Amino acid sequence: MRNILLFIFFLFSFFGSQAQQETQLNLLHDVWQSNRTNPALVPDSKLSIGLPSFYNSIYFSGASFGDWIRENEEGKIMLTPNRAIEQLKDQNRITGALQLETISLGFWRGKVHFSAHHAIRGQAWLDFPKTLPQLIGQGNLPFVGKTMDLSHNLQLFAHSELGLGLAIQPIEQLRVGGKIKFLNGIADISTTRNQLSLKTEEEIYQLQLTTDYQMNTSSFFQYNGFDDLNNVVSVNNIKWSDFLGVNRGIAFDFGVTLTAKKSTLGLSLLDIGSIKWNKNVNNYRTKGIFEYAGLDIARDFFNDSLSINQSIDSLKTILDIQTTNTTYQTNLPTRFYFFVNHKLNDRLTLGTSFYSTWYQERLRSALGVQLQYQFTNWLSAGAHYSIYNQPAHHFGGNFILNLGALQLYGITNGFFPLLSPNKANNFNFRVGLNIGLPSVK
Amino acid sequence: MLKLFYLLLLLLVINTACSKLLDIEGIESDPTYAFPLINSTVTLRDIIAGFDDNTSLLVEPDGLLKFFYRGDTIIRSSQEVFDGINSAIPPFIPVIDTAFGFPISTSTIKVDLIRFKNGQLDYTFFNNNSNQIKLTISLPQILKNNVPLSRTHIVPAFSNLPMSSFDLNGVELRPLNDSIYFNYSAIDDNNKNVKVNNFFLIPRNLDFTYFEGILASQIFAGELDTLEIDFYKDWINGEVLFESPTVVINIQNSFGFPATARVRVLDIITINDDRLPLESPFRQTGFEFNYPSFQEKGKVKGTSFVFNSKNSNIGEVVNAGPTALVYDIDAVPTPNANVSGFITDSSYFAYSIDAEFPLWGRASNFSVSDTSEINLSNFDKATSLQFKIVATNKIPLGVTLQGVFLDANNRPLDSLFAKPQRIIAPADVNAQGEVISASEQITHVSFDNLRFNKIRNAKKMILQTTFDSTNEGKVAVKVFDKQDLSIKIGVVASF
Repeated sequence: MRNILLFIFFLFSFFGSQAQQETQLNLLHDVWQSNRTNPALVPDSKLSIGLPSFYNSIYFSGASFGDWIRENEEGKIMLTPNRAIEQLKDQNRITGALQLETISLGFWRGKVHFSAHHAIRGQAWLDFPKTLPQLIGQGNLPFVGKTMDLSHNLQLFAHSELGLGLAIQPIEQLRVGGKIKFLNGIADISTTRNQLSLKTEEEIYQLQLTTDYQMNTSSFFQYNGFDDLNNVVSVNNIKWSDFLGVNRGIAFDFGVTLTAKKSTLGLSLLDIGSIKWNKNVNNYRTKGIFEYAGLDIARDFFNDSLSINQSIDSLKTILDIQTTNTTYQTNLPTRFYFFVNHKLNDRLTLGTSFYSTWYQERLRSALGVQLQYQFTNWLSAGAHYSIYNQPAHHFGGNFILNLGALQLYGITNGFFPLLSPNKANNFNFRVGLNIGLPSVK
Repeated sequence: MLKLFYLLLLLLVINTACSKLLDIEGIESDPTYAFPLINSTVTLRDIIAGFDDNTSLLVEPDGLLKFFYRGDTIIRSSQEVFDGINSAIPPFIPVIDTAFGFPISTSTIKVDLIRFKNGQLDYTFFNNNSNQIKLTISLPQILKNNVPLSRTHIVPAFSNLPMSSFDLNGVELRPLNDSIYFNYSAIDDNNKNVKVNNFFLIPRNLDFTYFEGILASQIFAGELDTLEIDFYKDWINGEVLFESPTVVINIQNSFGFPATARVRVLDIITINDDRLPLESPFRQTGFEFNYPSFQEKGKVKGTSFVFNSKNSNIGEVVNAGPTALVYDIDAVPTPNANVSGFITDSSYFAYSIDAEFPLWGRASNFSVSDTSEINLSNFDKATSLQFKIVATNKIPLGVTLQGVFLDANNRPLDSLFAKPQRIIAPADVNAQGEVISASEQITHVSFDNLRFNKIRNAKKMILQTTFDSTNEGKVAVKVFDKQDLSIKIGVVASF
């Protein structure tokens, strides 16, 4: 169990926030990567080349990063669930996001803008009750005579995508864009049924585990039973071929922008699609009520061999997990963006952005307001306020540095976490490098 | 190349934003898990079987349990009688006249009928006459198909009769006046009766299938044997007082005559190595046992003679703590019975001895000790352990435990309790010693970090178990086969 928890934290360091609550990027139209939030958002440069850019965010509800992680006296980084438990609510969430864009290209051809990009993206979240880390950190003794709800929803996946985009400008004020993305799933761990509860009786702590739980995995996750938890993740076995040609999927993006005098507004719907997982698929299913009341070995207890290991071994086997290898399909979190940018003057732009994602039959939203100032022709910077998650208020900003054709930019939704990560619940940033050729205008 | 590029990017990520997360080396936690270990219901039979596989526990018709020990079976066969008859017959019988008889019965055996299974009667003589003779030999008490054996020989003058034989297979011997007779008549060529010299009868290889008559003082001698009683094998101290112990002598007999078993030795060896004789009037008189009548030839008749508290001092000697029973039993024909009986070649007399201790009695501080292997390796990361023992007892015996943990070199590490602790209370009983309600007791056994560190490497445990019947052994209680003990053990382990 500890290994699994460590593994999940490892992956969360890469993957997904409750979707990537980026309410800034689609307000920064000079940054080529804003195109990934709206396919109609294309720069005026004749040619745009995106060099590697990286986005990462992680979010803990309730407890902060420092509550979960600490460096002990021996200098080892330790996971500290007991410190986090004090800050947790009855239901909690940990999310993370990763986007690693390797290269991208965009160019105008008349009124049509063509684009292509390749990226590795990962998203993940875990909805869990406070009792889950309590079981790991404190055990079940505090819950003797009670039922611990251990139900949780884990969604964790990564894929590579190759996107081909097209944007047209039928009239001066209007741009309409679309994108098709060819996906290859890298890995997935996702629950489709989430019910788990553990009841501990008062008498002699008889256990009753009630389950209606299914976890699907693809690629490098392998459950071999309780005795082999050290080998649940076979990262060493990942091969380059795992990234290509398997777990195929397809997704579509649509967007539109409308410019009127000093204002631009945009609307986009992204990641309408799914991935079919067929590489090294395992479906772990357990359903039923599993009771363990102790071994019926009293006679042996009086015999020559007094061994309680037998009881421990039996305890491990009470959970009947059926494993199948049926391919399955997961939908991408579908994102929706709406923004309005208004130039207050030649240097100052005020923008607002609304973001929603629909995933796992739940809608999650964020709202941001931004003030962007063009200090010089080579430096622009902005202040950003956004509202999402708990705590809800985030103060961030960005900079864009244009050195000739070379562009370097950085974005974060929160300054505070960067300065004091141990006290932060949110951690979010994007950095990237682009090359832009002269404007078509 | 592209793969390398990916890896470099991943390393960049690892070494910057998420370095702490990716460097997690463990979990800081101090969980305490509670889970059940044992949940079992056992009868006393199960528990005793766990202590010793050699102990038999039987169930009386009313369900009362009893310890049961049975000794070896000792057998005496009819061959001993037939050997006696054989020895009574002289190996060489000189025939000194034309009519000759000799006694077949002895002071110990009166023969009415013998049937031969095998054997032969050889004979020879010398014709010392100057003429050829015609000699006819007849045996009126030895019959084949109800016809006396007889044979005629022509023997030349001054000649020996070569050795001749009567085949005795299937032949019956019916003595007349306890004797058998031989007659011969010899006539020479002149029709004159003559006698012969050196006439001898030689019985050979006699074997019998049936004997009928009276065995006056034939003794079927038993042999000294010992019945081990391991009830006290692991005993340390205390006592168990049985209300109705018995020693039973079981006899199986197919000899067809009245006989008496004489108990020559019946002593009990106690835990203190004392030898206490079981005293009873029947030790002097013996006891008769059943035998088949003439109409029941071939049948085996059984007899069980019980020494109990009414006819012996068994209660006294058994409660001294028996570890063995030494015994020797003979069988003799009932004196002065003067009744004709029979023996076949398959007749036998066999006996065995049982010691029975019905579980009706009192136990007081009755302690046994045993050493068990233990293995705490599954708790190697535990810092403390607390066991919760819930015992629901329908048996009128309570259990007090003490244990000593030993390392691999049998050095004591720590004890289970500070002092012996009762973990199972006896069930309540009525005046007849029968259980009227179960008892329930909950016991906690704790090993904090300090104590647990002491026993962490324990390999063995000496477990001293002390039994007391209800009311601290002051009431005689009965243990029935349906009574059981429910033991549930849970553990709280801190890591």
